[in-house]
Amino acid sequence: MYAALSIVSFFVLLLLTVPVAISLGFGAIIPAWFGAPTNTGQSIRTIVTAIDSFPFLAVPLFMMAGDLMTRGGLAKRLFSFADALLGRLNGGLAISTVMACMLFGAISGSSPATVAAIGAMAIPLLLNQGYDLRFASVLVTTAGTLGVIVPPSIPMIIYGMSANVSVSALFLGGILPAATIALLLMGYAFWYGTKNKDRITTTAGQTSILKAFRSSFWALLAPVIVLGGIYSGIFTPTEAAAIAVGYSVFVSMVIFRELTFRGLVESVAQTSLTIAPILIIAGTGAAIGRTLNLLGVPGMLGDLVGGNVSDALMLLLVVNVILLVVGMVMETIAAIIVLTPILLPLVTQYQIDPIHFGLIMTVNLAIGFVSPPVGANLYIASGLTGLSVVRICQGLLVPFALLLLGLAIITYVPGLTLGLPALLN
Amino acid sequence: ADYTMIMAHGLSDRAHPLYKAFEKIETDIEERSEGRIDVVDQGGGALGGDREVMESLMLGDIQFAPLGTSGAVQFIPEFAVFDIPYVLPTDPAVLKPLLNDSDLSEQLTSVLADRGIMFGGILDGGFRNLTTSGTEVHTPADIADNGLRIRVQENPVHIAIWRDLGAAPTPIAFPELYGALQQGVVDGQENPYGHILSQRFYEVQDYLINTQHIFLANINLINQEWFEGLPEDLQTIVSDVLAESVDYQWDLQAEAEGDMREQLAEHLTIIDLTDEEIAQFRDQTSGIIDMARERAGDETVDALLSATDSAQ
Amino acid sequence: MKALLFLERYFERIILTASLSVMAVVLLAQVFMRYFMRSPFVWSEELARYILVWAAILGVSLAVRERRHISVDFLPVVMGPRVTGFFSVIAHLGVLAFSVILVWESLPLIERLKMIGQTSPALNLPMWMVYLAVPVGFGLTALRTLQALWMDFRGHPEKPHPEVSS
Ligand code: NA
Ligand code: NA
Repeated sequence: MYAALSIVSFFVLLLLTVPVAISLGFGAIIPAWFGAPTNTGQSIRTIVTAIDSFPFLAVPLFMMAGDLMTRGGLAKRLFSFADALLGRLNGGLAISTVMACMLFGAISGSSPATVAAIGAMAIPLLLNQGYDLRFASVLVTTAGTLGVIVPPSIPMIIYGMSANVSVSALFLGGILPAATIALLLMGYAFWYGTKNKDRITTTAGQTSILKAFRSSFWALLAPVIVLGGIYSGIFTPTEAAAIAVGYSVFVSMVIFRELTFRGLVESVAQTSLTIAPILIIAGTGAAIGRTLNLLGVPGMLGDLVGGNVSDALMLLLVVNVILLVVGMVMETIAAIIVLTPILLPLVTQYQIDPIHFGLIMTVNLAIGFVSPPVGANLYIASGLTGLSVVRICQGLLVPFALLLLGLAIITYVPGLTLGLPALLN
Repeated sequence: ADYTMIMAHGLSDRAHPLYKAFEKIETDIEERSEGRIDVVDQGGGALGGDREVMESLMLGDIQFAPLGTSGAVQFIPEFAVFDIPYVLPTDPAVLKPLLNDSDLSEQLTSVLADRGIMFGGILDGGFRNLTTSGTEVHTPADIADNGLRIRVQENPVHIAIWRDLGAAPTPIAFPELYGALQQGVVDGQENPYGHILSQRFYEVQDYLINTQHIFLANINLINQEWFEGLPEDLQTIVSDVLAESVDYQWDLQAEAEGDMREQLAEHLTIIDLTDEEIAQFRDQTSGIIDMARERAGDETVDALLSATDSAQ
Repeated sequence: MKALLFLERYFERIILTASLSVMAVVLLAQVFMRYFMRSPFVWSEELARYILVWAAILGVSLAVRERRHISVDFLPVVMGPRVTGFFSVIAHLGVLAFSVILVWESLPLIERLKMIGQTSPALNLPMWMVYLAVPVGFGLTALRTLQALWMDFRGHPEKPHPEVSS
């Protein structure tokens, strides 16, 4: 009952527009007021201890890297390269946008940062070539999920930390799932481009692939350095976030000369605004997770599911539905921190690999970025296009269905996730 | 239930001899108290890492923590005695009474009581051994010549040990350790057999060197205030069960040691060191005892030395 | 006076900006020392983590100052613009209450943590100094929330807007 009290107070406060971080915090401490065997001191300690963790440092640093890549001209070059490569196809610019999100995602660990960076460049160009405003908004909203599905990825780091599994194995495991999602979205772009062939112009072919490659070389090198550095043992996945920052600063200041020292300071100051409401969510999210844990929720859930679910396939379906619902209303980091300790013991009982489950969780919560009401990508795309969130959602049906299809493939084909890590072991 | 005893620890591998002992403690206390004490197992770090668990124990938020001493040494500096390399005998038959019924255990009991904690016996976590990728190690020179980066806990004495052995001691967060070994961010790590198995470090390491440099003392810690609040009959039950858990776990660990070694041998090249080689390790780290004295205090270190003397 | 106004505007922001810079530099140096110099730092990780704790908690205050907290505006959207002000007050009171509770509860906790007397392994820092971020950060948040409420009542509320997250 205390657990229900915790969850209900969280949702009521959330509905009353109390910030997510604070609602989570109340959910953690309220049961103790009514005699639950928890206490506020413990919640306070959990807030601090959850943030006091090395992998969590990747969160602010990847945000910073995203902002620097946009200001310093790396994002722009990744996009031009993608366009030179794929722009000739039907729906070429839209396909290039998906690819640019993938390239950007191979350096950045953040989904909204990907929408902001690629969207800001792609949307005006898409409109220019006759793409519909709503299509453009929907495209960047959904393709932005590649920011966290392509490694490196903040959700994977947070999951690795919560589940005590290797983050680099998760990163390896994420490569084929990311390719699957990217192909599905590219297919959607191609279909749209073919359907509207008469309306859409193309400017591709103006730059040769070789020329585009040369001018975007240093930007393309970034993912090689970030992922290569992790896999060759130069740095850990967490440290990769700092490397992404360092490399972006170096390339934009020294090679492209598009970032001044003043711009650098502005970028860091901007990042501090961006992270201000986010970091604490991990703390209060962990606190409510701890409270639910002490109130026996994992056990209850285990009994509930254990009594009704017979096999792993069924369990994964149930877990996916839970995650999708949670992803709708809850911020990603908090969702991972709260749900991992609750769900992981359950899925491992059914012999589901923790790495596979980590990818299911990541892709699922990445979809949460595009699902209302709490979907950061939606709000950013809305800010970029001026189209209301509701109007964007109306166009979301097909790509959203494709994301779900991708999720289903990733869920029920474990080899897609586990093949690469196994191969390289 | 009239009383709740939250038991918090970091293990999640139920096959581990330590975890089996924790489970026995849980069932025995619940059965013998006829349900008057409800033991809640919060394993797998569900209530946080060792630091947080220790803090919770001292604040009274949890009642029982069977923890490795190195995770608690920032609270109980006297635990630094367990970080002195090559001072404890490796024979369990000698070691068990030395740790549980000697000048040392008496000293620990009083040190802990001063801080509101009841000493509930020491379980056998095994000796720490070195594993490496690629480098065969027989002597400290093999470590120094290759400048091996060895992952250590953030523990100043452990860091000093590996510096003395010529390594580059590298603190890496535990969740990142498997990946760090796999990718070669560090060249090796040091843990007992049980951890190497349950964390699957054998998948990403080539050599296991039986350096046996430090013993992982897993110590049963009970919040004193809670214990004293129990009626006398329940106090007796808790004390009895804990005392029995010590015997049970040491036997289990002794049995498991051979099995674990066999399992590890399937994946790793196991290197046993000769007495001369061990002596080199001991000589190289002979300065550590002074550092431990500074931290743990003379009284506790002398209690350890007197206990080892009488055990000879 | 000018200095005070400057601090009012930028205090938390300057601390967060400086914290971010230090974290990035420390981690870059950590990689450099371990990989290129083969002489790893033992204190860098701990330092970066403790800075992160302080930055995260001071960030709550900054988010109030800049009206950037993430919240669900489902009801205000459904119920129309007339109720926006009402919900804004509710949200602020929620933040205020939580902050006051946390300050109130964390002070005795820190006293007890001081008595337990643990220190951090690498920097040998008393751990209560890390926990001190809670009363300081949430104390500041309470003040910032009162400020925001006062500004709402004076009648120039800036519209809160949803923010980028991970
Ligand atoms: Na990414
Ligand atoms: Na959502």
